[in-house]
Amino acid sequence: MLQFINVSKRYPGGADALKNVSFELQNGEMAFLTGHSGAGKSTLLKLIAILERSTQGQVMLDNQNIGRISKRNVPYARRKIGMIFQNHRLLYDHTVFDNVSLPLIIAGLDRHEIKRRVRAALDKVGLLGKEQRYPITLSGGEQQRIGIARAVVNRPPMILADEPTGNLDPELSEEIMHLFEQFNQVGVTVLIASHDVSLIQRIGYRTLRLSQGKMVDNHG
Amino acid sequence: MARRRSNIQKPAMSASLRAYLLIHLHTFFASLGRFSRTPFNFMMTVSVIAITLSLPSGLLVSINNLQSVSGQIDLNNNISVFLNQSVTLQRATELSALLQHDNKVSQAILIDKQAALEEFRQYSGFGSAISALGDNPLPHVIQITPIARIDNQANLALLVTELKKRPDIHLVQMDMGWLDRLNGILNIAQRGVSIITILLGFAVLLIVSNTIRLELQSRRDEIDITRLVGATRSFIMRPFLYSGFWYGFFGGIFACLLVNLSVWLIDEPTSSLASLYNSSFNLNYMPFAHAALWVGFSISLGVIGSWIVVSRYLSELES
Repeated sequence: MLQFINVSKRYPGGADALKNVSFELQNGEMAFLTGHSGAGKSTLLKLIAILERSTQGQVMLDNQNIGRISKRNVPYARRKIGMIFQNHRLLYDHTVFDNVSLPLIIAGLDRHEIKRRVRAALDKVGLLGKEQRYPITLSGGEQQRIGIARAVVNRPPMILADEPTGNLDPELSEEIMHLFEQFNQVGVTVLIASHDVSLIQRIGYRTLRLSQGKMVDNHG
Repeated sequence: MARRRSNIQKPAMSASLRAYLLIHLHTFFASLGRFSRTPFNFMMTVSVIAITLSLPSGLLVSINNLQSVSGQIDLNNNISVFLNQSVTLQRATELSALLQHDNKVSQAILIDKQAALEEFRQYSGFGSAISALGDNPLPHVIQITPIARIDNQANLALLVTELKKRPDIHLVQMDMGWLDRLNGILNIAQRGVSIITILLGFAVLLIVSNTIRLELQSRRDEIDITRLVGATRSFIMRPFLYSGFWYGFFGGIFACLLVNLSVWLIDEPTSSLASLYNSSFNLNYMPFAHAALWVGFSISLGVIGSWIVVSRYLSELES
């Protein structure tokens, strides 16, 4: 599903954010990405989301070299990835329904199909019945679930989560991780960036560890 | 997984087309709905556009009105032929009859000097002064109305030259010179309006650009998020282009309303002035076709101004 081949990323100004990183995620695999802040986690995720381009090497997503993809095709490549963020990145002046339906509206689905899929996604994250609420009226954990529902509503083959439990207490964090496991069980590839080492160890999945831009641990 | 994806990306053609049109329709009215939440800001921008565009469009309406004044005069451009003092009434009558038969003349009326003096005595208020004059100082005058066919300058000029060659004629006066000058001035004014239109068109473009730029900044997060979930460039641009459309649309409409309101305000004093000249002249409002053109012009400026800013903004964002 996802393959990094000798990927390096140097930002203008000289700092090497990633140095010769190689790894592979199989279809339907779930893995964690860890490392101290500044180790290159964000850069690695940005390369997958095509928010940045690699300086060297290849980033392959679904057998496509997304480092070389044309600007015009970037949006379509992004639709294969459901992205989840630490600060949720919701539209706070829109309802839960509007937030979750956004990827489907962009993809151009018809109204009934959108309604059906949004309800299904909200059902999965346990927010059914709160479609017309505004995100601000919901708790932090619930807001993160809106973000997750939005990421999966388009049924992408891969989910990418950047510190999804950063602002949540341990109990809520575990619930969120459990959600990811459920998506993984139906075949979705999941990559979660997190520095919550104890949580990662407790759940026990393959862990990719970055240190100063290098992949220092690549195993389960 | 492949099956799942094909589900998303290939809806039936007609359904996807319908969904596409629905998105357009939705964004179209959603952008209007957004304005209804900040009506004051919206009306400010629309007013600036309207006032800016009302200047060139108002000037154009004024010019059109002046042209219609000169056009009305055109229709009854008479030639006054003043005969020599020595010409007798009989000779004048013969000459008048002769001119009546000229194929370039539709009507030739003789105003004999005695009748002219009487009329002058009656209307000028110099009655006693004229009585004091022993002799009648006025010549016989033949008033010629050229036939309608000879409305072009060349034929008119030919008729005038022919008249001037006749021995009995002292002076041929055609009050066309000032009309030519007026038309000349109007031509200059028209050129001036074109220049003003271009300059103020740029002003409108900048007004819309700046407004859209502010809108972009306030919706930065929204743009970032829609980009992250796979929105294409055109999807992100669309609502802003529609915003530009609405600014232009309402700006153009209000500009036309402003101009017509001004015409309405000036019309009454104008027609009372015209009535002093025995004319039933009324000001013309902006014709519908012109109004439609102005609104179209305004809409184009709105959309183009918006497009410039948004595409620049997105190009900076794109990796």
